[in-house]
Amino acid sequence: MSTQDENERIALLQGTLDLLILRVLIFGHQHGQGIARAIEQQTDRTLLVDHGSLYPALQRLERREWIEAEWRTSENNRRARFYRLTRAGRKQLMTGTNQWYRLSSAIARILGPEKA
Amino acid sequence: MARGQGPSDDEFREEIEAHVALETDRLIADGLSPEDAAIMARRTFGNVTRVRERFFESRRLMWLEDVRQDTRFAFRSLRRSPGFTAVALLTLAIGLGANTAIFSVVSAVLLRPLAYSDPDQLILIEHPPLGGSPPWLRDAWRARTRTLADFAGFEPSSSGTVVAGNQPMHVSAAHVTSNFFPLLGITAALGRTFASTDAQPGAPTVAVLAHNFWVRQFGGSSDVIGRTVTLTDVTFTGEAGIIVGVLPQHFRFPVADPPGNAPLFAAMQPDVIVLSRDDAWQQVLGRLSPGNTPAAASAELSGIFKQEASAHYAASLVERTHVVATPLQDRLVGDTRHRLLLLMAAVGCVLLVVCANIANLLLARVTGRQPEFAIRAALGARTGRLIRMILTESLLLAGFGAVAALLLAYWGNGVLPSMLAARASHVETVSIDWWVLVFNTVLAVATGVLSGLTSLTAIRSRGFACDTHRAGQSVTGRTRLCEGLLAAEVAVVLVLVLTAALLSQTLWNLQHSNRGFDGDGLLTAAVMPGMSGTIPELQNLTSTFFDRVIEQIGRVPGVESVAAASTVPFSGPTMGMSGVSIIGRPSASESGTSVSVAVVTPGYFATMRNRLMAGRDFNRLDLPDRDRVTVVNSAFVRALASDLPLLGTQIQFGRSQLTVIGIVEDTPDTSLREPARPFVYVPLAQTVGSQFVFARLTVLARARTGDPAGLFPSVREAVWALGHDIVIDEVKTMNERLAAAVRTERDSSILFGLLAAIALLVAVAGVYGVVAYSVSQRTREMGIRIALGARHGQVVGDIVRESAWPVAIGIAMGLAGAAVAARATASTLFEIQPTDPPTYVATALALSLTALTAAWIPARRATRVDPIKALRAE
Repeated sequence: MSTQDENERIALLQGTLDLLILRVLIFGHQHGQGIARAIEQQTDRTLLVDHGSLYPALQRLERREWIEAEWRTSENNRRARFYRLTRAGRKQLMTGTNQWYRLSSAIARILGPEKA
Repeated sequence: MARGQGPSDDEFREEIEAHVALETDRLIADGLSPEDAAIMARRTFGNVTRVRERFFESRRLMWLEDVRQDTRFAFRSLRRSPGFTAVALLTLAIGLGANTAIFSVVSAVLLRPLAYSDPDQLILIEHPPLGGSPPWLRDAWRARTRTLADFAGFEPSSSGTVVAGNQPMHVSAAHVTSNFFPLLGITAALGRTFASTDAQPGAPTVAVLAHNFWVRQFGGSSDVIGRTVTLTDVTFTGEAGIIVGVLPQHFRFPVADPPGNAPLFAAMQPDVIVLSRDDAWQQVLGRLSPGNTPAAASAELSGIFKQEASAHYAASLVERTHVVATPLQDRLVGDTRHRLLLLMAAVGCVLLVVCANIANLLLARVTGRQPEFAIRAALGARTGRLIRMILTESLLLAGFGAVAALLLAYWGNGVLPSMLAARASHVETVSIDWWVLVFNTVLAVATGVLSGLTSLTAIRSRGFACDTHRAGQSVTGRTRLCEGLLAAEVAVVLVLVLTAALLSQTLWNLQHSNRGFDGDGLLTAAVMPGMSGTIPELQNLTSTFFDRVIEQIGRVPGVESVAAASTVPFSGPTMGMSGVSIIGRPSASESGTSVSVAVVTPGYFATMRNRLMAGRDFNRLDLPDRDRVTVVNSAFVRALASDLPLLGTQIQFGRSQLTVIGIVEDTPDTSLREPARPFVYVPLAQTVGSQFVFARLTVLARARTGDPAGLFPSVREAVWALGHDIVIDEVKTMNERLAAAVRTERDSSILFGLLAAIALLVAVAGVYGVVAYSVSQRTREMGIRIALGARHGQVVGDIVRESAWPVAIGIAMGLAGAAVAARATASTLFEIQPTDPPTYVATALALSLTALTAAWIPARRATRVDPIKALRAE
């Protein structure tokens, strides 16, 4: 039973992380550390990004050609790998967001009104 | 760097370092000391090595990891629904197992090369309606052929008596020319095979022994070389042969059985192989010279035949004769090929039904799991991955099914070869070899993919990400596909059931065909005295011996009458004698007609209840010093003297002239399908003075009442009273012999019946499942209708009607398919048309009723729906 739970949680995290990365990149190119920081800041640190799983996620997205990468220099003059949304990535972001809203609203309807 | 490739190893290391450096910068900016910031940054990032490991794994083993995950997931999800899994596995195991088992026989019989050197080049040359090839034809062929590298002659084995030393033995023997073994590439295990010097005039006749016979009869002793065996029977020459060698154990004599012959005799391997006389009519086994085809050989040999034959035969006979060269393997396999391919098609059909059924089951599952897929899709699972998940599940099922199938096939290999390959005498073993394993695997994968993909079509039309709460309502698309699969199942099942019905009627027709004698109440047993002596002594001994045997058995209470014969119906192939003619009458067809010979005692026809159509039976006065007499059957009259009265005329038979004293009704020789062969019956007493010894005859005893098998103990007592060295074997009732003669048909009928029953069960389960599922999905609708006052009968009727359509369409398709399939089965049927209307109508009706019953049972459940509960359920 425990392996099963763990497995389903990983699947959920992966899926969610992908969507969040795409969302962060909509504001322009960003390197891995920047993406992690952006997610943490924007969610008031509710979601802590495991840096260890960030890079596999980035590589996955890159392989699917939803993002692409190039080496650039950061504002504080460090060479880093910067990621950028592709056209397909933009489309995937829309689809994913859409599905997410439908799913969460469906779940919300079942769970009832939010408690204040 | 190309798009979609991801970073290289070095780039990735650099990227991580950059990440840590950037993090450190940020922490310093937040106010930490550079040292603390560096430590903190590393800690936040976590285990760098682990991340790099994951990087490598993801690049190299991503797909493997996915497969592992999918498999584990599929395994768990199958375990969660044991009902579905059990049904799917069971049907898959049966479907795949039947295919694997039949294929292992096909592989052994049709695909495995013969155990001769370069077996592809070997051909059998025949020229129906003429039996063997006469010497002048073989001489002409040898002088002029270019397509053949060499050819040898042989006379297939027939059973009879051999006297080794002074001891008579019952053996089967074949004759071959001296180049027969070199042609096949066979060398002796002990001693030698034949040499060309053996065939020179004046050289003594030589013989080789089969390995098994040598072990059985001579204890495998090597001093057998140089001993003399004497062949003394109507089919043998009566001359002495010197044993020169023993054949290797693996050697199989190429027995090509005449089409339609009963399987029982087809595999008859000769115990003794004797060098042939050159003046004999022989079967011809050829080896093609390189680059030539059987067709080219046929054309060339046929041309030579036409030129030479006009000097020997009437023009009409030459016209009718076709010289055909057939690859040896094809000829040995004979109509077993047809039966095997038919069975292969049938098991293929069963697998299709299984496939459709599993697709249907999976479809229901996939539809039921729509919300799960929707969530997965929403969380970023790609469609490809979801498809793979479903496919993994069906492939996993198929994989387990394949393993179970192999076990089933392994078990089946104990039973099937004797049922299917009995006639293919060249097949020694049927085993699960690489070919079978590959076949099994390919079939399992195809089944898994096919049923998985079919179930996916329902989803692909709508996509995974449909609204979770609407998933249960959209049944329509699914239903259409379900109905299609159902119709296909019904169609295939109908074809199978029809074929099984036709085959079982064939069996019945054969068992109840007119046989010209009464088999009920007949006990048969082969009896051979222990005796020795010279051939004339043996002739006298056997004649008086069987007189006494018949007298003894006649005294047994419960025996109505008793007789003995050298051959009885279904006891084995009787060799034909060619060159039988009616004295004083020119006959054009005589040379081609081969006539069978049976030696009988007086009272044989009465005991058999074989009707005498004219003249008289033999009696005790037909002794060696009287006129030599014979009784012939009506096939003989038809073949040789249809136009003239035959009674009282004389026929030339070998060296003797026989007067025809009676004509009897035809009885079958070896097969019930073949028209009866011309028969000449000769009284045993008059064989004295000929070159023949009949030491072993089949005794027939007719019981007054009841089961003749019960007579055997007292019959044996009566015979043994004459001496305890008397061998009694092959004790069978005539009905048992009959059953053995129709074994091929019975086995076909059983196998097809079994396959049809399996397919029917699977299809019934399919109909039941689909209707049950549809009912469970429409509880609400039923509830509303019942609440609004619909009668139960209407509700049930509506549901049954829905499945009636696919069943009706399936039946229509099945009838059309059966009419096509009939062409393939036509040759295996007997006295029934492949499109026999009553059978078609009865089968279609029975199948419709069965299918509708399968629909009606779950449909009734709809009426038990409590309307209140049904409405609340939503």
